[in-house]
Amino acid sequence: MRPRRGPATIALLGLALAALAGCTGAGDRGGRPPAADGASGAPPPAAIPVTGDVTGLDLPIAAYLPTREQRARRSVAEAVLIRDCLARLGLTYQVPPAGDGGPVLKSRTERRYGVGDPVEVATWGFRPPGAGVGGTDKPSAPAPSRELAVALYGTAGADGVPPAPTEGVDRPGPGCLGEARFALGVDPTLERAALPSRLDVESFERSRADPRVRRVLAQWSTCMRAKGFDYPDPLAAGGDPQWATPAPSAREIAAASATVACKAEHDVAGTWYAVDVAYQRQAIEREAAALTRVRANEEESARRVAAVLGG
Amino acid sequence: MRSNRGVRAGVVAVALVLAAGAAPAVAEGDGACNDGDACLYYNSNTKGARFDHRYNVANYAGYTFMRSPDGSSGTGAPVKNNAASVWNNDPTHILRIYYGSNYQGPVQEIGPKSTADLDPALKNNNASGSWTAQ
Repeated sequence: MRPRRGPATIALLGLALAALAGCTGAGDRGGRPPAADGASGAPPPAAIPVTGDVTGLDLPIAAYLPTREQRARRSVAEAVLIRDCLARLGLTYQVPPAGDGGPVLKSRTERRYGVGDPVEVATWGFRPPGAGVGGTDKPSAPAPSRELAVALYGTAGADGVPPAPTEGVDRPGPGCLGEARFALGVDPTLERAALPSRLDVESFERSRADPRVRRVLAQWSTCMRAKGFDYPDPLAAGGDPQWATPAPSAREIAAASATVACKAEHDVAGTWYAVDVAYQRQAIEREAAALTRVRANEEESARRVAAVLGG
Repeated sequence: MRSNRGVRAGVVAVALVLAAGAAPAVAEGDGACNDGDACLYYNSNTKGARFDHRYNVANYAGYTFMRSPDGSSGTGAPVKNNAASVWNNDPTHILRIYYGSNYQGPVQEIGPKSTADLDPALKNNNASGSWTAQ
């Protein structure tokens, strides 16, 4: 049994983080030697963090995605521009702030390789802490009046026309929302192409099929079978339709606890994460030119947001 | 043939909801993409048949696409692992579409009042959907 947290673990996590920052030199100083990879053509991971939970680790693609704070600032700027636009039309309206949504992920890696926190699963099974089973779990702002909806979106909203793909590049979209987004320089063609997001999902799929990940997943499956559960991987365990109950059953909690224990025993999260990171770094290199344009658009948009918010 | 499959899938959906002990919410799959809804489309570019939901969906299994003003292609097809594009018609919340059921795996985020084609690896791999504040 390998200790889940200790000085060695932290050192390895540090190495993984250094690898994320682009310092590959220290990669093999303390990590387990990456297994040989004959078939997949994937680069070897710099270091494999030995940990049951990779929630605290981010992925390289995060550098090309707006942060939570940047998104929040942009939506505040958007609300300011919308308010001013509506005021010119003689309407008074303040875009409501977002209420509590569903489960908020602590990071992009929290549930990426299945559940990982032994304390959370003991209460919640496979569900995100605090999650209901649907029904009334999102507060909704009251729908705007017809007059307001037309001013805001150019249509009455319900069954209205979704925004067109090119609006915002050369011309504003309909309504005050379209005008605000045009002013903030949000390029919807880049948003729609969603390159960073695309690469993020792509590296997951590639890493899932990678022989190094398949090896630990097979070990995980064997470990699970010894505990009475039969699944190919942690996502399949968490997605079993029999967990669709109002509250987690004793069996769900047992299966989730076994999932976490077997992941830790065979370093599934650490291995998967390291291989995932390796594929992302490869993709970032391949798409460098396009990602530079994405970042330039984000920076220009951030400047316009700052101008609206007064610095 | 195609419509028979849709009817059967609809029956499965009702059975699942009943098994879960929850009353079906009126807003889920009512066929209209209302303000506050997540609307998943069978085809790219928000075209084809559509499925709308207002709350988190831990598993799209059992739900089927319905004919929409944007087309009928895919009517009756299962929503799970069959969506190609999404319209987030909520004014304030970000919509997250997950690769895995029960909000697991990688995720694509669609901002408030925005549309997006699903990422190629997520297209036909949409398993669950949730909302998040900024």
